[in-house]
Amino acid sequence: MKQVKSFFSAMLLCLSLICSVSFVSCDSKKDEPAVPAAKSAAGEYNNNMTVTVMGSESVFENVTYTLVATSDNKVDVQISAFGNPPMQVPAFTIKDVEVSGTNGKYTLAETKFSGTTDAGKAYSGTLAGTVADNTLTANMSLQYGAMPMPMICSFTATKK
Amino acid sequence: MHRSLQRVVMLGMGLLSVLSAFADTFVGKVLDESGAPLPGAVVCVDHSGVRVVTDGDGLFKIHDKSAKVLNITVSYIGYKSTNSILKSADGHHLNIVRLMPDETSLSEVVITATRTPKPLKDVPVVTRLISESEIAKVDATNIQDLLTEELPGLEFGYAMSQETSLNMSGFSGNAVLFLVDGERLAGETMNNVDYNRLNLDDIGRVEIVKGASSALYGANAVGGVVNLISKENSEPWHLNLNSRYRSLGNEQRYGGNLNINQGGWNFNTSGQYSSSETVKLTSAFDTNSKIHNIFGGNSLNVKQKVGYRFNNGLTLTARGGYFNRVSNRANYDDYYIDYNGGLRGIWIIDNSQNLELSYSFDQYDKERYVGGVRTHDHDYRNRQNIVHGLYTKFYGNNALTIGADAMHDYLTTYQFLDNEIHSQASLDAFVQWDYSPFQWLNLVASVRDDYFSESRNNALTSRVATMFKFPASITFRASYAGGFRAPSLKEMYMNFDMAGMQMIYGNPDLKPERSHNFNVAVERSGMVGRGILAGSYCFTTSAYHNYYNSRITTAEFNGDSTREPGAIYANEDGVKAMGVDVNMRYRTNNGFGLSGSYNFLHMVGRTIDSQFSQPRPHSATWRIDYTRPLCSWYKLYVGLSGRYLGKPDSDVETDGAYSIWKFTLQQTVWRGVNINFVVDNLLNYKPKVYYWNSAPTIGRTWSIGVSANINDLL
Repeated sequence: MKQVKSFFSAMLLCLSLICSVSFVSCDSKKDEPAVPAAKSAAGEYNNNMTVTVMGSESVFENVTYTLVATSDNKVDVQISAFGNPPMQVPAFTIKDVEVSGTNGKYTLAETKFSGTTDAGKAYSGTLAGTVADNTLTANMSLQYGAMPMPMICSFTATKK
Repeated sequence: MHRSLQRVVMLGMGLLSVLSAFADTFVGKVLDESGAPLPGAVVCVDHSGVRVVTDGDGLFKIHDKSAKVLNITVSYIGYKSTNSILKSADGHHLNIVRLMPDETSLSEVVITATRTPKPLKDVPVVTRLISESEIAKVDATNIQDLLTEELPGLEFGYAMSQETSLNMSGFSGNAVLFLVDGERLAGETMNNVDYNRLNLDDIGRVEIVKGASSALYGANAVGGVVNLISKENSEPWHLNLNSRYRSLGNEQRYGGNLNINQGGWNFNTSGQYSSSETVKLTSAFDTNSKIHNIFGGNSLNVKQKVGYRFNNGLTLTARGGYFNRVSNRANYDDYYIDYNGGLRGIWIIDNSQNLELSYSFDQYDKERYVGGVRTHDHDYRNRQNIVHGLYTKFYGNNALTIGADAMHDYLTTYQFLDNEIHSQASLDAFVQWDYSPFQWLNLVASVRDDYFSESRNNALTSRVATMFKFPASITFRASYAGGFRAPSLKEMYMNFDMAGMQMIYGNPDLKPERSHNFNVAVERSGMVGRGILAGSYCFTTSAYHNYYNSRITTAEFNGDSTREPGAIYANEDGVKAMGVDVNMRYRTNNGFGLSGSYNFLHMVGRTIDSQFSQPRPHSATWRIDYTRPLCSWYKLYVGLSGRYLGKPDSDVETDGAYSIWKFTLQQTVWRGVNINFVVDNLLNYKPKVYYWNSAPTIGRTWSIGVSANINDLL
């Protein structure tokens, strides 16, 4: 009888252990490691881009913004070549753009950038944007080379 | 008793003889409104015409045995001439004469209108004078700041390159001639000289003649002449140091001016350094605004002048200057460098004639740097060598002026094909007859011919002007003046790819621009009121009509066998600018002042209506102030000034009307030490959209400045 009682006790312990494990498993979403904002926002976005120079708008087709996560909260923004002469800009990358946000809504912090293209032309500007439900909305003010006025670029695209 | 009487008589005679020894000497001191001595003031004895000049302490001494008291007139530039009675120096009596500023400035002598010195009240052409005290009130760094505050109908804006463009009564900047002591300046930025070169540290006054003046000044004097006249200091030595901080762009300015008079020598050194940071006007993503930042930079301006006055009436002056401006941009820095020098000889042959000869050299360079490395793709050099000759012969109150100039203009620029070099010689001669048969009547007629070697253009211009007073307090002026602007080397030979957007070509066949200016004016001045309202006033109204012909501008070019389509410089006809200027000044004897100017402009034909510059039909400036010396060492100036610019008359999307107010508190806190505090844009005006001609403001800003005359302190 004592053995039977021990058996039931052991069974109860096992059952409670199993139950506790299974309950923990049932509440799994909270405990999965969260995907960092940068990685969530990262991806390839392609669409037309509107460029305003001194109030005049031009639309350049098939422009790609590629967000590459370099850490949990930073992305490099690679922008494909766009434009036609005289406003023809080769591909360039804006590095270390801070990303914040959760649950599919992320903000690309306003970031000043500068650099030199492979052809040796200096560029600089400011980028800011959001990613909401896999849609990137980016605004960029770009000073390219000796062009005296900025190109103000407006871009909206869904992640591929 | 008899002996006592004899002693008294002897004593009395002795005293009389002592008194009579003093009776021929009159000693006095001339002070300004703050109690500071005025060196260089002219004291004239009324009955004899004897003149003496006050020394460095404002002191003067007159020997005159004919009277125990003397009636004198004391005058000094910028101050009201004052009559006074001097007591003799018995008992070592020191006569104090205090001069008050002449806010109407009508007694000041100006030179730009006729190229001969003439009191402002007598010039036959309406001349706007900005005096040294007005320059100090504005506390401006350069001519651009000053003119913006003082003149309605004149507006500075920006262009794509963010260099400054000018619109003055419908004329663009290249139709307004800027001079420094009568000398032209080389180089151009947008459509005129580099205004940053025209710092005001050593400038004593600015004379502005609106309307054409080519009959005296030749090319570019189509819409007006702005002449900056250097200070002349008669003190043995004078040292001013000044500095200003402005919150807009963290702008800092440091300046100094040293003047030494020793024997016949005069040395003058001045320098100014200023720097500012880039000012963000609006969001980087603002697609409505045309301009987003005012880029910062720094500039250095150094000038040296040495003069020697010989006993025979000959004065020789040598001068040299260096200017360096760095203008920051997003991806590069532009450098503007100038070297200039000159020699001038003025020979007062006798009381009735004088001769002036001068040589002037000016070289203005532009360079571009990316990351500290010069790119050579924006190299520019303009060099001008000019020789002037001016002879004036006086016949009583009448004067004959004959002049001639020769100029060599050299230009190489990135806007030419392969930076090729072009040069041009120009020659001119002019004559003017200034006829004043009566004190109330003046007639001036002048004619001039200019020849340009490269364009082979000949330009004959003339001017006829008259001034008459009837009654004495009302002055009428009427004038016709011709103006012209010869095509520049740039406009003749440009071959420029503008950022890949458009080719712009020069045109060697261009004709000179021409203008015909008609002007009538009436001026009333005098004293007014009693009690606290007593003071002086000046009221001027002028109406003008300019017919501007053959204006040089760009036109569409369809291309030819060697050139692709683009734009080409061409002459266009038919712009008329007409309007009215109203100026009013009133100052009470107890220190309150009120001044205002209004300009109405109406343009017909092909107006200058680019997105960078549009004529505004209505504009005004005003100032209400109070100035008072509260004790011998403290003087107060409080001013509220402003400007209004009406909505431009334009077909392009552009700025609206706006007004900007400014508060100024200026204090003389010790001998020669001034502290200026300014709140600019008092009502915190911010444009909703920043167009090229919008006010370059981000709202209310402030500045504080200190200026010290070290010689006064010591």
